[in-house]
Amino acid sequence: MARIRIGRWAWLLVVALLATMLVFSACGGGEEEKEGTPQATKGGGATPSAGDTTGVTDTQILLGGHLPLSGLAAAWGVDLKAGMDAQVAYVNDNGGVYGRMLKLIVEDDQYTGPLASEVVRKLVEQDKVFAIVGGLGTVPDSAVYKYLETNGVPDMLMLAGLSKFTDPVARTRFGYLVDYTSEGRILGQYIAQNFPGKKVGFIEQNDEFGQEGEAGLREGVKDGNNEVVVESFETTENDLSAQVSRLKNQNVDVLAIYGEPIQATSAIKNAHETLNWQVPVVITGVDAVEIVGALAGLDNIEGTVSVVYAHQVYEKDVPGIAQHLDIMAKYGAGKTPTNLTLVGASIIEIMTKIMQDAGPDLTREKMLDAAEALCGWTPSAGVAPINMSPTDHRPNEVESYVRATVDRSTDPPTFTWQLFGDFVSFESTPKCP
Amino acid sequence: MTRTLPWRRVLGLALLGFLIIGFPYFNTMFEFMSGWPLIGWFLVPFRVFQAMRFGVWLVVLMGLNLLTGYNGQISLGYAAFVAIGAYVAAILMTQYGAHVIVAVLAAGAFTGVVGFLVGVPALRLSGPYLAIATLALVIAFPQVVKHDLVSDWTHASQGINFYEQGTPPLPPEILKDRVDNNQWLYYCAIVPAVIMTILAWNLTRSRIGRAFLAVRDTELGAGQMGVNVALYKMTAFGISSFYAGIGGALFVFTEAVLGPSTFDINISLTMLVMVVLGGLGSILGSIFAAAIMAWRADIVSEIVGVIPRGQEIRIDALRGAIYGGLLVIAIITGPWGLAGAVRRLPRIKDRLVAGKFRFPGVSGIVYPAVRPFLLRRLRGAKSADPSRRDGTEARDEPH
Amino acid sequence: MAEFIQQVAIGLATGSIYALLALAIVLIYRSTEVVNFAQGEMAMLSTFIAWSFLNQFGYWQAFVLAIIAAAVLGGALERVLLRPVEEGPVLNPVILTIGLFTVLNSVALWLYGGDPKPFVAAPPFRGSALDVGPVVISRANVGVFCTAVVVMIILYALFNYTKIGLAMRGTALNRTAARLVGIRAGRMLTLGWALSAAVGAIAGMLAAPVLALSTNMMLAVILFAFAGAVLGGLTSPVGAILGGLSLGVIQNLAATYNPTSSPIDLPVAFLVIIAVLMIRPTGLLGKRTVRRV
Repeated sequence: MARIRIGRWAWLLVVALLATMLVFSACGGGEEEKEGTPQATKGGGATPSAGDTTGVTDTQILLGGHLPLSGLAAAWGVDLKAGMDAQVAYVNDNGGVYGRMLKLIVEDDQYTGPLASEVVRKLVEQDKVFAIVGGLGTVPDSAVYKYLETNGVPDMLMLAGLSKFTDPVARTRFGYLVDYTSEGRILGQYIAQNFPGKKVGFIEQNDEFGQEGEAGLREGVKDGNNEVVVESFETTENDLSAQVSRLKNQNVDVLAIYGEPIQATSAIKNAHETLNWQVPVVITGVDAVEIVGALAGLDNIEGTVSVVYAHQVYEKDVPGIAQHLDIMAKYGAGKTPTNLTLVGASIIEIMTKIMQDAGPDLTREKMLDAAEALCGWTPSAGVAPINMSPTDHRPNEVESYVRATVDRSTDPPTFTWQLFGDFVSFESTPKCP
Repeated sequence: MTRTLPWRRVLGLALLGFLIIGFPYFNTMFEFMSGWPLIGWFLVPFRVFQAMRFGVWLVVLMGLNLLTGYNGQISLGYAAFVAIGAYVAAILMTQYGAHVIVAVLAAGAFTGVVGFLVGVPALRLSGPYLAIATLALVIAFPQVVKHDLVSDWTHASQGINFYEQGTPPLPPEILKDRVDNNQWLYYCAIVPAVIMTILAWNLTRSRIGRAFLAVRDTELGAGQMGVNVALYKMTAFGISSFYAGIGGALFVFTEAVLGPSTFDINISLTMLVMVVLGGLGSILGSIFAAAIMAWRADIVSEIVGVIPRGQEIRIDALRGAIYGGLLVIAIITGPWGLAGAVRRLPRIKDRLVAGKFRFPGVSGIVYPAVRPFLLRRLRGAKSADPSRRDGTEARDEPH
Repeated sequence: MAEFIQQVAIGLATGSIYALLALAIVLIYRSTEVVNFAQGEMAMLSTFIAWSFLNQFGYWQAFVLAIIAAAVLGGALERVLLRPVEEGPVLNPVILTIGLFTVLNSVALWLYGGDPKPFVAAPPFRGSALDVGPVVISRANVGVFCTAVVVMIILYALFNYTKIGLAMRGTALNRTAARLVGIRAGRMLTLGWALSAAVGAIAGMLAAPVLALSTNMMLAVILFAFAGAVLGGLTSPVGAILGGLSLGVIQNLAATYNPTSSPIDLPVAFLVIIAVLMIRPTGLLGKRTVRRV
């Protein structure tokens, strides 16, 4: 076919179309709302209309989730989903919520913003879910949280610890992970109390996770007069020997690490084993898991301090953990329980409790009220009670310090994270009404 | 192909126009058809959002096709240009209050110039060296965006969020009752997409387009014929980057969120994959590429949906394998992409008869056995004589 | 000064991992003219296979078994999947390897789960770190470096001094001519892939003690390996080593002596690559091809 000759009339049409678009967009979205954020104020956000029963029928409650099931972070998403699915099956086997069966649809967002926003829109507009639960990742959650807020869809128990998600408080949005700034702060406080005046070397991931940790840590060490020097790495870097070496050359006295288990263990192993530099190490709660023992080497990890807000999956004596192992055995289709399956199951457990508290006439409003009223209740794997209120949408605000402990009396030696010291609470709702 | 009468062409164009303009309203207009098997799928309201995404991807992938398909310069780092366009537009819209059309055009122009300049060093490179060099671009880009020197504009890791720093893309006041959010965004995306497609159509059939193809097919020969190879290679980079800039700006306008990881290496490789699957070197190919790109999540979900609930856990980890497997199968069975297959459709019958198919691998064993039955069904050949089979398959070039 | 040397040493250590994988890439490119994106994932999967063997066998048995498994896998992939697309548009093999990348990554996740696994270093490279003057380097890193050099020598000898190497090079340059001369072109291609997969497996097994064995182990490495291979020249094993090592050193020095307040090691490293490519468009030691028209 030949070139399309745009004749006189076609050009007029195109110009007219563009002009109308120009006029419309100039009159509308452009100038008037320029003052900025419409609904980001405290306690604000679009609230669902009273009696909003989207996703709820007489027999079923439809929940949605967006997790990375393929790509870079698939390891997390697959385990989380397994835990969530198993818990849902367990709840349904035990009568559901007031006779309504739970149905969970989890879509794959590959840990990217654009895909997350696509699948969340699908869940909201096509599947018409009641609520989104356990959305994972700072990047995907950042892409969708405002959309969910503007459309009044509850964004429950987000698996991302950015402070901006829970401060300022939005009516429909609730966190779950301890936010990174608070965690950094209490780690910093530990350093200030135990290593006053010493130089701190902080290794951070070059993204919001690491930067919030740094901000929190700097706040925490204020009383201890500690100097903080920072090294960073990209998420794909697995070997931190260069950063550790540089910090050693700057004569730091304490090492603090905000990264994933692989990077944290690389740094610890490098410092303690390769460089024979027995520097005390403090790491983020994300790394307080069992696998770091084997990865870093028991001798190297011993003595490292971290924080936890829940029990670990290897603590078989804790009733909540034993129950999780049971549920996974029965409904988990053969998947091995890990800390991630535990988190997934806990999310569904808490969501079920909230929906139960909301009563048999389930609406979004009632569910949000119940969530804000949840106080003094400890989930089965939790370490401290969840206290929330209309101004506090953070369920996990109590942590305990843990120390990496090696018990050499057994063969092979057992590795656990032992709780020590008092619980540290940055609870915004200290007392329940 | 036989010549069509003008009135058929006009009717066809009018139908196409109706489809494009009326699509957002089909789900209400044709609601009674929503239960029907094939058509019902189109009438789900969510398709409007996906069609909007399709429009944005069409602009983006058209640019990549112009560079790699028509001009033969392999770029693995195209996403970096899209990101540049997106950031420029986002900064203009959120921090300087620019009108969206101004921002989009400015982003396109800026990215086009950047691309043209990048084309200069690219002149010396070819094949895998050019590919890896452009890969280097997209790998290094996030760190540049996160850097303190520019983080006042780019907000480093936090990225730019229109809901917080500007205004989210809402329909203007006058139209608020007639269009909902998705429909408005659809029009905002599809109008530029149609314009850019027409521009690309004209470009590829003009002197510049022919020069691109000449440079791709035989650089030496083109130079001998008087084509300024260097200039056209740089122009190809520039024009494709222009498309990237416009596409990126449209993307950020409709998505309202942008971060350093939005356009990373994964999406860059995916873009190239989609363009190859759609069909290199043709407008139809870009359209197919954009369609596959917009609906790729659905395709994998459909396949996984076959598994009964509860047992899904067993194969959740394999979603990536399903996607990769489809990719592998697609590229083996359709070396010229979807557009290439479409183009060869009318001649399939002739080629079957002439025995000009040679399938690789397992099908190579199955096909000769099946061929006699196929031919008898087609009633086109008297004899199913295997000795007529050629040793090699005729090589086809995309046009 | 001491810190400079230490950082150079660390850069060489990181760079040797890139170099070893780059050798595999060069091997495939030299024998099939295909850029194999799935190289890293093949290496990762082979290392997982080795890990599963480690439970039953000793280290060296598992090592050898994994190499054999990798070679079989590589050869099979070439025969079944690559053969149909090798003689078509030049981008198709690349697209196919991208698809393979996703498949292998996902299969490894499905088979072995998401938790990172500890992987021991080879016996000669275990033990305390080496203290050489101002430099402290772990034995595992030294092991990677030494192995990379050894493999490079073997590959160099293979390509330049053996008949098979000559046959492989011939097949890559002009398949039809090679067939006319009596070379079984298909076998050469399969051999190229099998050998490259074996080198990849070695790379993976040596790098795993340093990088921790997980499905994402090779994600960053493969990209730098490509960059290093291109820097050194896609047709030269010596270039692959040179390129990989240089890239590691440049990256680390850029991170250590960064005058700005945020990381810029990646842009600096790649600027260097672009600069080198401007001066020598086929890499430092790559051969310039001259096409007769």
